[in-house]
Order: sequence, then C-alpha cells, then structure tokens
Amino acid sequence: MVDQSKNSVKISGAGTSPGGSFDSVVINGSGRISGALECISFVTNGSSSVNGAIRAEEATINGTTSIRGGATGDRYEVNGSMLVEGDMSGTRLRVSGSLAVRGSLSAEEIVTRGSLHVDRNCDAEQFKVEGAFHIKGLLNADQIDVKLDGQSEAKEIGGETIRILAKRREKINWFMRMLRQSGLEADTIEGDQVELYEGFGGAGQIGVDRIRL
Amino acid sequence: MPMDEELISKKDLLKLTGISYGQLYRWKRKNLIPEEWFIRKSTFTGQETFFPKQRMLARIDKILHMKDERSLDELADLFSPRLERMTFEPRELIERNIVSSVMVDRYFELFGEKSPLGIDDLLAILVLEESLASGELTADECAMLLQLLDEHMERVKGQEAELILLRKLGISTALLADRANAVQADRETRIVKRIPLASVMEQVKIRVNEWRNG
Repeated sequence: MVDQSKNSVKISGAGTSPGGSFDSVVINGSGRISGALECISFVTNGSSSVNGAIRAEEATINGTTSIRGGATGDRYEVNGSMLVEGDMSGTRLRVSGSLAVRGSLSAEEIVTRGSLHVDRNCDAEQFKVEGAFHIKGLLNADQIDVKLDGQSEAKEIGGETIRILAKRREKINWFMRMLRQSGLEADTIEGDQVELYEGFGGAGQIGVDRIRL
Repeated sequence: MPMDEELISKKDLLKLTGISYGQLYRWKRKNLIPEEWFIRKSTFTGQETFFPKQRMLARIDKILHMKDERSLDELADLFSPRLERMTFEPRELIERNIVSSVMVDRYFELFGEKSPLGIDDLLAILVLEESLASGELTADECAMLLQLLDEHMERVKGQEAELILLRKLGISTALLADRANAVQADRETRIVKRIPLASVMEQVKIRVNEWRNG
C-alpha cells in the first residue's frame, strides 16, 4: 500500500513510488522508489531500493537497501545492509552490519561494526571500525582506529593517528582461531603515530614518525 | 603537467618542509593539494609517491602562511574555487577563447546583458553553441531550447537531463526530459536534436579548467 501526500510517502507491505522531494519517506515491508529521491528523513524497515540518487538529511536503514546512484546527506544509520552504486558522502555514518559503496566514501565520522567495502577512496576525520574493511583506494583519515576481526585490506592508509589492533579471541580454541584469523594488507601505511597489532606483516612500506608494534 | 618538471619524493618533501604525514593527508582530504600532483612511480623499493617540486613547495609555503588566518575549507576555496561559486568576466572569456563572442552576444540578446557570468550562464552558452553549431536548428529553435533550460535550470542541476527538439510539419517543439533513454516519435515527427546536459557540463568543466590553468 502506498500512501503518498504532498510532503510524505509511506509504503506498507509492497509498493512502488516515483521519486521526488519530500519531508519524510517511510518504507515498512518491501518498497521501491523508481526515481531520484530527496527528503529530510528516510526510514526503511525491510527491503527497499531507490532507482536513482538519494539525498536524505537523516536516514535509518533497518534491513536491506540498494541505491542505484549516489547517496548524500547528513546522518546515515545502517542496521542491516546497504549498497550504494555511486559515491556516498555525509557527516555521520554509523553501520552495524554491512555497507558497500561502489564509488568513493567521505564523511566526518565513520563508525562501523561489521563490514565495509569501498571501491575507491575513503575519507574521514574519524574512522572507527570493529570488524573488517576492504578499501580499494586510499583510506585517509585523521584518526584511524581499527579493531580487526577477519581479513581486511586497503591500498594505502594515511593519517595522523593510526591504530590497528586485532580483536582478541580468548574464548575460542586454537583451531577456530586458525580458521578466523584477522589480518590487514596494505601497500603503504603512513602516519604521525602508528600503532599496529602484534605480528603485523601486511604493509609493503610503513612510513611513520613514531611506531609501536 | 610539464614533462621535464623536477619531482620530489614524499619522504624528501616532508623532511624539507617539516610537515608531518598527518598534515599532508589532511590537506589532501581538504583538497588543498590537487589529486594530479600525487604522482605514483615504481622505484626499486616499491611504489613511491612524488610531487612536482616547485609547485608543491610554493603551495605548502602558502598554506603554512595562511592557515592561521583562514580555515582549511576557505583555503581550499581559494586554491580551487567550487564551480558553482565561480564567476567569469564575459570579456575575459572571449579574449581567452573559452567561448566565442558570437555566442556571448547571442546569449545577451536573449537574456539581456550581464556581468559577471555564473556557471549556469556558461552552461547555457555552451548549449547554445552546441545547438547553433550543428546547423540543423534555426535561431528561433535554439532560443526556444534555451528559454526552456532557463526556466528549469534549478531542477535539472546535477541531473542527467536532456534537451530534445522535435519538428513536425515545420512546427518545432522543445522538450526537457529527466534521464531520457530512448525517445520515440510518430512517423511525421522528426527528432532534430538531442543535447545531454551532463556532457555539456563536462565541456564546461574542461573549459573552466583551461581558464584556470591558462
């Protein structure tokens, strides 16, 4: 059911709505927006897709969403999984689950628990990850704070303070630990202060002023 | 970039200027140093990054001198002003062959003379050029397309819109379509011209870069 007024769209169950400019867009169930979308608030519970670019001041994604264009806005919260086929930029980005960006990603604060895939560069002031990340370009952030869980990679990593630690898994036995090894691969890591986890051996070149292994 | 320009490696640059990795990466993030200046080269120790030495040293000197008075965002604007905020003197555009005087005059005839011109004006002038240069459209038809674009400029900004001119039995119609893929018309109607605005905008960017660097 699609309930569309001048300022808002609400899809409950299954429904399709053309894009446009609204105050609020809510999707409960399975919804498709068939064009570009601009709104103040975007909330989706279930599965949804936007067939174009999205601009949302505040977006909360519970479930699965795919955007067939770029995503811009202020605050994005992803609880579940989100795919952005273009570039993504915002102020605050929180991910519990997974986010894949086919272009570049840029935000002041990126906090993720789970997995993050970026096909080009990733820029942030604060980059905090607990889990794994795959960045095919440069990861450039003032503060990089990573607790690795699983295999991660980035072509280059650069910033001021870089802290990459492997998550401790004391509660599981050695066999499970072998299966789920954490590691990071990068061509270069450069920062003013770099702190890497014990046994690190992934970067071809590490350029630092101070290093603590 | 001139081929014979002297390059400096990242490590030497940091040593010479006394700036830190953190600063360099921050300035890169804030677009204070253009992406093209980061030149990746293979050396015997692996991949290394080099910079055009003179330009890089001059830029760093400027940043260090100005960073106390201005924010990094203000500095970025100063080094490479955002397209939407740029303005151009018509006379300068013509003198430096960015656009021809014929097109500018024609544009002024339609919309009244103004100075300085913004990026929207430049887009419109290039649409005019594109539609007039092919010789398929009459001057009136070009004017019709431009009026249409002018009315909807705000809406189509950054979108994949397209201007289309149809002609049926000698009477023409201008259309503006958001993301048109295939357009079909009846047998008597001819699609005379299709102008994808995104590619015209690309042209605008190329010419603005010429204007900046020339």
